Amino acid sequence: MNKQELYEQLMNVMDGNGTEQQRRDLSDYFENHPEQIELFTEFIMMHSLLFQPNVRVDANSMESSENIKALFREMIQSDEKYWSDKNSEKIKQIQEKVKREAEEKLELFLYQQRVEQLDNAKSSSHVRSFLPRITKTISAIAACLLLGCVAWLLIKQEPTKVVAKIINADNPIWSVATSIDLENRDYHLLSGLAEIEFNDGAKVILEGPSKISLESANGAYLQQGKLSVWISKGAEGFYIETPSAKMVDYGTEFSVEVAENGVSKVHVFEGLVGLFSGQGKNKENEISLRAGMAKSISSDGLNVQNIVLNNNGFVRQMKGESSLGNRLTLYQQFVSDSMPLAYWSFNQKTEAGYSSQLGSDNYFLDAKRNCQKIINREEPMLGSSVRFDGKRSYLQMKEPLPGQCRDGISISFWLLFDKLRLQTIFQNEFKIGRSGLSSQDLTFIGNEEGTVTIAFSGANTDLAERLESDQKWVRNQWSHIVVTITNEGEILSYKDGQPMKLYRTENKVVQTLSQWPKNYCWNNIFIGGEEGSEICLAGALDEVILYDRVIRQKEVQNLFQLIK
Amino acid sequence: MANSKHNDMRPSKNDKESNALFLELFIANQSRIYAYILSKVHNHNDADDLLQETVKTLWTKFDQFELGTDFSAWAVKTAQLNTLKFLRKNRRNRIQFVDSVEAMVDKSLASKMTTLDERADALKHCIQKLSAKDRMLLYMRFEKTQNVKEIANVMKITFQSVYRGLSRIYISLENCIQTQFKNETRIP
Repeated sequence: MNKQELYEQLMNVMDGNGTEQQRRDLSDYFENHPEQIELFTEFIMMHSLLFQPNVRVDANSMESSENIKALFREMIQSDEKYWSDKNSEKIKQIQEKVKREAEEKLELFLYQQRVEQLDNAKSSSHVRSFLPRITKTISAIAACLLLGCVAWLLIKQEPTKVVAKIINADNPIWSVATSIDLENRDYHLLSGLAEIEFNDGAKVILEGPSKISLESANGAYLQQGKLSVWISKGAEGFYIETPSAKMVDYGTEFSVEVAENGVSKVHVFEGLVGLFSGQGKNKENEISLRAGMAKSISSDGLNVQNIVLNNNGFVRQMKGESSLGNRLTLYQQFVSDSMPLAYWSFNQKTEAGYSSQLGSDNYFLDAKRNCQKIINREEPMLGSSVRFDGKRSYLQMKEPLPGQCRDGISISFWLLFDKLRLQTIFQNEFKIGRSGLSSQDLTFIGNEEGTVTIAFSGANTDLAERLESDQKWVRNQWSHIVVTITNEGEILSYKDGQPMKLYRTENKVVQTLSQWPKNYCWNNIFIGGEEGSEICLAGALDEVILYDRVIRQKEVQNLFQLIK
Repeated sequence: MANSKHNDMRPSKNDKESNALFLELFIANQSRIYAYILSKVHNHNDADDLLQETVKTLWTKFDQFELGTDFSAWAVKTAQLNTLKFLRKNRRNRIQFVDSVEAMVDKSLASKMTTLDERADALKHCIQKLSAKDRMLLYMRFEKTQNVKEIANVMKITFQSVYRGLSRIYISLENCIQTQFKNETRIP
């Protein structure tokens, strides 16, 4: 056996692919050729060094690229006589070389594309081979050690992260309380339906009862149950793995079922699916399944058989009529999970006003002047909103909100202007001292030009800060507004889920309120106007949510998208 | 290796400096530990699991490590205990060396370990000398961690060809490292 043959055999055996006979042959070989043990240890050393995280292999074909450049230089520097004769042998040779180099580069590029695709498709825990787990572990250990945390090593190896979210549902009952944002972990849907959108773009309808492990933004492991998958453009490579098979989606619609006995079935309705069969890490032999094809894979992954396509056995679309109610459920669940300080949906009104759906019963908005009335909001808004007639009608907190805020404040609400004019939308009045003479008001004001001003008046009104939005509103159109302010006065605002710029003067974007006091929190809330004010809101408000913390952009987008 | 400047410092898990030190020591010795484990278990996946197990053990027992002593020896000893424990339960599916061969493997490996850092430096240089296609093969195998069958699928070749290609690259890299060593020896 020469060195290369020996290495090939060692690689094969160390990958776990060798037979018992091959392993026996190798042990006999070293026993009979002890001088070759040096080669064995040489192999071990080389493999371990390549495994080392700081020995990196760069895939970019720098050498090839340099070669191409050199060839071009050679072409340019060639004698003019070669250029004048296009049939010159020299020119032909150079052209051939350039072509070969270019082809090689293209080939490598295509390899790399395919590698990335496969890499994305690979499961993070089921089929990954040895390297990334270790490199990830080491990186995580590095971060952990430098931060001084200890328990991590003993508790879990990889932190969870949000990889998908529920975008629709039909009476879902989960084994444990489940939020809208789904992390890379196991979920058990006992009954009902959940439509899940993965961060990389694939959409899945999961049917209860099902046990699923979301492995990444690009794939999941279905232990048992049924699901259907749609892939939008750009999300190709999404995979569903089962105990005996793995389906890689190349842009299509398909459904998967895993029975209690471990048999997997896949039905392809559109496009193309790559099917790999086998148990555990040994999934291989890709079979291409086209639209109209269906396969059954035995629990050991060894038998793959054609079956009749089951067009009606899966929920492939959520019922349209139920989606509004479902979205309301999801939205309310999300709001509840986000733990607001107070939340007014304005869906139920008593004679005296509106109570907060979450938080204390004391968070009650009294109707003043009894002028506001409930209207049914136009689609696609949910439930009812509160309308202000612009004639001194407003809502006021029955009692000031108590307590202190954490890292800052946030407010989220939907707004519709009937008229574009100067009008008070919202005000938080923070009175200091018994007399209340010194107040620190945070006020949102609508302007004639259709812009919104956020004003903060410090103890001295001369120091009031007024920031004007760069966005303009139009009449009779609902918009979602969120404003967050940290304890340090850093302000962020969003319209319809997107960040909005605020200006103090023209062309000067403001990010910090200079007069913002450290202990500022929600206190006495006025909505649509305030006592004695002549500039009341002419329009409607809905879904007013107050937080005693700064909410993140992702949360802002969820608040917007679940209702839009 | 533990640096002498740390000799007066007793490691503590609450001490960020000693945490960073642990990391530095571990990463510097990772290939040694891995090479030892792989030489015993002859399987990549098992070696991977055992390395993780070993780093956990080392970390939890880092308080007991005497700075100024040989971290490498301590780490390999820990890996040895974990590996023995593993092999007691998992004797099958590996190359069964007779004791004399096992002893020769240990001796040969120990001798090569003394030049491991130099080999690593030379290897970085040698990888750059490979053809683009060979680098792509290594990239798929070690950076993107594709298994041999996946690489074969991407490159539209048989998996035996992938093994042949990888073993040729290993040999080419070894030759390059040897040449580098010889050149360095010649420099006065």
